[in-house]
Amino acid sequence: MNVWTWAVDGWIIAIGALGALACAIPGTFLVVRRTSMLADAISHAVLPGIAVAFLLTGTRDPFFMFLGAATAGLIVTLASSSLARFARIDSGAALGIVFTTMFALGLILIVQVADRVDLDPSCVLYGAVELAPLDSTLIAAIEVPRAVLVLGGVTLLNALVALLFWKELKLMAFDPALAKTLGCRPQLMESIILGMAAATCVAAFESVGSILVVAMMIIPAAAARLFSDRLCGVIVGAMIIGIIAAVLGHWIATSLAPALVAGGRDASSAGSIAATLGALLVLCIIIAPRRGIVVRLAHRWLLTLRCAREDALGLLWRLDEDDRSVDVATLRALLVGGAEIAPLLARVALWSLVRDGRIDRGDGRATLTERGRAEGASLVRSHRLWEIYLMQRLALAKDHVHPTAMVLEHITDAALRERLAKAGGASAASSQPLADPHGRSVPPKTDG
Amino acid sequence: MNWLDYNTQVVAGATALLGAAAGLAGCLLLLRRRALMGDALGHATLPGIAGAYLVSVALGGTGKEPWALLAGATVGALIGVVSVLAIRRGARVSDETAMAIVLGSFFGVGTALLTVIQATPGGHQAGLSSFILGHAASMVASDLRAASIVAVICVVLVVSLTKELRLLCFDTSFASSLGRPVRSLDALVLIIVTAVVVAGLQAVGLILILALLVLPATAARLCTDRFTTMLPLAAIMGSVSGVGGTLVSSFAPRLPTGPCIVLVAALLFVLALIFAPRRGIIARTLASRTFASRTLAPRAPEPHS
Repeated sequence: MNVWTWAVDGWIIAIGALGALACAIPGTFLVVRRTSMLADAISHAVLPGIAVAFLLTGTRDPFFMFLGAATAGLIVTLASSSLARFARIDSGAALGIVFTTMFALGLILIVQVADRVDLDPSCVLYGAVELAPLDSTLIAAIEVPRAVLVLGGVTLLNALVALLFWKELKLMAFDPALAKTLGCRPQLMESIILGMAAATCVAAFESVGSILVVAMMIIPAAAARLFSDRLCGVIVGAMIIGIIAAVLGHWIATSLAPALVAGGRDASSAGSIAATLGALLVLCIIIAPRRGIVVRLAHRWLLTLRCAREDALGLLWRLDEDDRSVDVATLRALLVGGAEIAPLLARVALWSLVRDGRIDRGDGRATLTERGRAEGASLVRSHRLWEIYLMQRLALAKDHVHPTAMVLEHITDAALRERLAKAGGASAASSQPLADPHGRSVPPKTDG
Repeated sequence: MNWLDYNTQVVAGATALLGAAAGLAGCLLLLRRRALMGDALGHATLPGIAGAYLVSVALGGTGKEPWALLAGATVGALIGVVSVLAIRRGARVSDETAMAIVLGSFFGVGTALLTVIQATPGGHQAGLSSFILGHAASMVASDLRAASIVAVICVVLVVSLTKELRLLCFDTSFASSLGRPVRSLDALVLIIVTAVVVAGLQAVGLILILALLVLPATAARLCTDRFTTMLPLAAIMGSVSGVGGTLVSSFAPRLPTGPCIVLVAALLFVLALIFAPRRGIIARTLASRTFASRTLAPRAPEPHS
């Protein structure tokens, strides 16, 4: 049980991975077009489709089942979109109405034929990827499961369609109005996307189960969206994430679950793959570059730290200006009390300033080094120039300029600073220092 | 004639109450444009139910205590709601995508747990999978009581908060500018829906509960433009579907109750679609005819001579 046999587990993973490949292309378009629940609707409509196909043909021939399911998938997309348009119903509600009604019809039909054929509704819902390797055909002396052939075919078909209509589909996905004005026939492209989604849902439900198709279509695309802003990047990312989930999910189902639970039998591979996809999405939300929670928090924290460091240098420079000398603990207390910096942050900021040689803490006093003095002066220069600007040009009251300048001083670079100086009336000729609204003189330019 | 027997009366009563509650809750969901939330919630109950079974067995119970399973379902659904909201923010995707993500992954966890449970001794008889497709015939008096409690709570909440809910549904930003607790009201709506979904597990199952939420509400919306008319109308349509479906399924031996209820609700929806005043197909066809005849018919001869 803990050792994989490639004839079984290899094929199961191959089926899962091929399912992921097939689902990635239409899934990405559904996520980008914000119509993700369509995957859910189509996959539920599969049940009445195969029930009707059985009633009409009387066989369980996979071809007729596929045909019935595909027809039902098409009906659900067409019926819900026309219902939404003609009856002016919210598109989500229209989708819900159509697919639940069809599902109810399918359940009733299946109960009617239940004694003639073994059509188990829960089998449609869960799928039976574990049994898929048993249903195989001989190709070039290798027993290849039918599911591998079907999913492989759908993957190729999806890739072909996507390559053929790449530009049009891309335009359609992001700007249908522009697509229409450029003559791309958005209606046709929409139908192509829906057709791909329907065919993939129908091909995959048999092996991975109809509801798990939803997970396979939507989750990898949503996760890959966090890593890439390019459509083709999202599709490739979705494929990779889907394959990882197929391997990991099957391992969890066959190795981890039996080890954890006393009963010791394998869990459903399809279910575990879907659950793994959910877990991978959460992981991606946390660690994704640029958009992940960790990166966003770290970014925000670094920004806060930079501001705290600048505030510390500015404060020390001002104290210096008044010929006051303080020790490090007092400086920290002033930062926490005056500039409303969190105690821990103030501690880290001062520690880092001492460490990279901007503040010297010899004999207990905190003094600015040459570099620290220049940077502190720049900050105070920005602050006071902003105060002058806010009062002169924007007519802010004298007692209102300080808080605004406290914010703006941190986002002012050298070039902007010199423009402010020019606007404030400092001509290159006069060496007369400017004075801020509170009567303090603006420190001279220090950086080059 | 077996439709007057005690069991049928219990099922009809419970589904009628459930239908009314679902109709009310569905109106709120529909107007908040979150109709499919019912589906995400429904699927999210499965891991809750399976988890409750495992916990109950681990604590020495039989795993079949109904209240434990329903408590598990509630916890699962609530975690599902929170996940939808968290994923929408964290992954920056649309409402629909977040719902599809929760639906797929939660159902996946549920099916994996169910297969594990099947392997444990006594797991075969647990009958947990009956929650997926519903099993109304097995409803007993206690289920009737549970359904009536949910229905009463639903009606009381909606009636006492009609004004606030109307504001929430039609103009969220206006509501928050008036100082109404928009987030709490939104949460309340989702809690009401959760209660309806959990109460409906036994009758129609976690997939078809969406139909009971959406069909009566949408049909009522077609019939009226007034919030205060739409709510009772949806509740009545929901009850009629419940009773009607139960009766239809009791006439024929092999008609499962849940799907029958849904089909009766769908029939009511189709009737509303055709006959509704102003928005129905007939009314709109007539209106466009009248408009055409009024604008096109009196085409006087060109006034040049």
